[in-house]
Amino acid sequence: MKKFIMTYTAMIIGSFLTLGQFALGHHSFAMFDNSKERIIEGTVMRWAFNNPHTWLYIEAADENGEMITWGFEGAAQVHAMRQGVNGTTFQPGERVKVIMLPLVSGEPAGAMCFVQKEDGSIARPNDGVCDSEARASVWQQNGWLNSPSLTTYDLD
Amino acid sequence: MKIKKSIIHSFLFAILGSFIQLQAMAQGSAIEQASIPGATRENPEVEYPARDFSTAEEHYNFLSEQANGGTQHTMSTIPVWDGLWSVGYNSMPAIFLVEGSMAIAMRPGGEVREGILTPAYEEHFRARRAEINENGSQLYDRLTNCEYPGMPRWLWEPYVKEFVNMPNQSWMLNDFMNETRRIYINAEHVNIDGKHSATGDSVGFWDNDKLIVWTKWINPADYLRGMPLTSNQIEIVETWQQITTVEGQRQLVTQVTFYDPIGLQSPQSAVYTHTASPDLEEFGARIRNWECTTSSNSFQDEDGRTFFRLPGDPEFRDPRGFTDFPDIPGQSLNPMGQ
Repeated sequence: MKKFIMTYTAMIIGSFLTLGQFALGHHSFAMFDNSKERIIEGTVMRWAFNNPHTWLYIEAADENGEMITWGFEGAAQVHAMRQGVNGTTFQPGERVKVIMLPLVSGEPAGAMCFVQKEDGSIARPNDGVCDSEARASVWQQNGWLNSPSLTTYDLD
Repeated sequence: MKIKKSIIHSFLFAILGSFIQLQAMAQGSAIEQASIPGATRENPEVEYPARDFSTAEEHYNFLSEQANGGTQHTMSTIPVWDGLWSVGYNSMPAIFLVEGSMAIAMRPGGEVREGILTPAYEEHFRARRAEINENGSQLYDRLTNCEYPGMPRWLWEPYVKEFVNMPNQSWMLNDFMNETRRIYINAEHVNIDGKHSATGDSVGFWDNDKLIVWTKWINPADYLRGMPLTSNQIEIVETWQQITTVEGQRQLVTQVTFYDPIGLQSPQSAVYTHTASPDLEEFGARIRNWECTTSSNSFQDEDGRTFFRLPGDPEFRDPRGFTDFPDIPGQSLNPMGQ
């Protein structure tokens, strides 16, 4: 775990070398619990490719099995575009797995890290709260993408 | 040992990736620009004023005299800074933090430099840094409530910018909060509004290919999230110049001096850069100004931190479906049929 954390830290620091590519949200990230990552599987309801933040809304079951709306915040348009995402990346009705940093409040929302689409491809609409390329690699290597929806992994 | 190797490999990978990105961005410009030897995309040096000035006005007038009143450009001679631009390096955090950089400006860490800010501003800055150290992030930022960041934060905010130079005005456009700066060339400051504004009032002149700008009457705000407050008496002198770096990258270098008799113990200087971003144009990006309706789902909660209104909250505004007139066809923000 120590090796993982140190490697991850090094990659984050390295990413800052590309100063013009910063992806920092317009607001504080204090509402997110960056010690955890959670997978939510559901159906896209709305993809809002908006500034200052993109938002993906999906319908998925909560802990009680009730279908509810989950919301996930992503990067501003310009940063999402640089990560290969645009306004047509997600379509209503498609199944997705969202890997996100949950809200500290426990409400059904969080910061998108990356999204696995139905065809297995990875979309990275994330803001600076997460190094999606590195995290997607970790999730794929560990087989965590096959975890049941609502599974939470502690990064500590 | 394995851990050390892993770290080294990760650093090398990240550095390599950064250079690959830079090379990909370094596409040819149709505009002839002077190449400044030694300039790099990432670390231009701060150019301090030729001597100490007590006010921005004194500094600006000195530069004007040095330029013999300035260059009167025409539409055929004025420097063209076309295309889309992104922010790059800036040295501002080093003014306020020991070995400060953007890597820690908004994050935990960093030691506050003493004697830079006036006592009230230093006290507030220390409290802000303590909050970041404790929570990992500043709990609340004025953008949460759609308050304009304004100057000097405008100089760094990391979104899409355009620059339009004309003989009598320069326009600096940012999609960020719809903030457009207007620089009135060879003009005097004017304030018939009787108040300050987010971007202030800017006048300027050209010294060949350099645009010198003096901005005053700026709303009090922040140098940046995580950085100190500015007072309502801050005035700023900027020198803008487009260069081509040794890597072949078009870059706008902005030398900035902050004069804030309430917030700063003495004037401070920094350098900021913007880089031409043809990659954005290839993506089809165009400036889309922020829709504060959709960001207004952010709010400050009872604990003082930024939070969101979520679907189901009566005050939630659907970013694509919101309308004040739900019973009239075609009124939602939903032209794509979602």
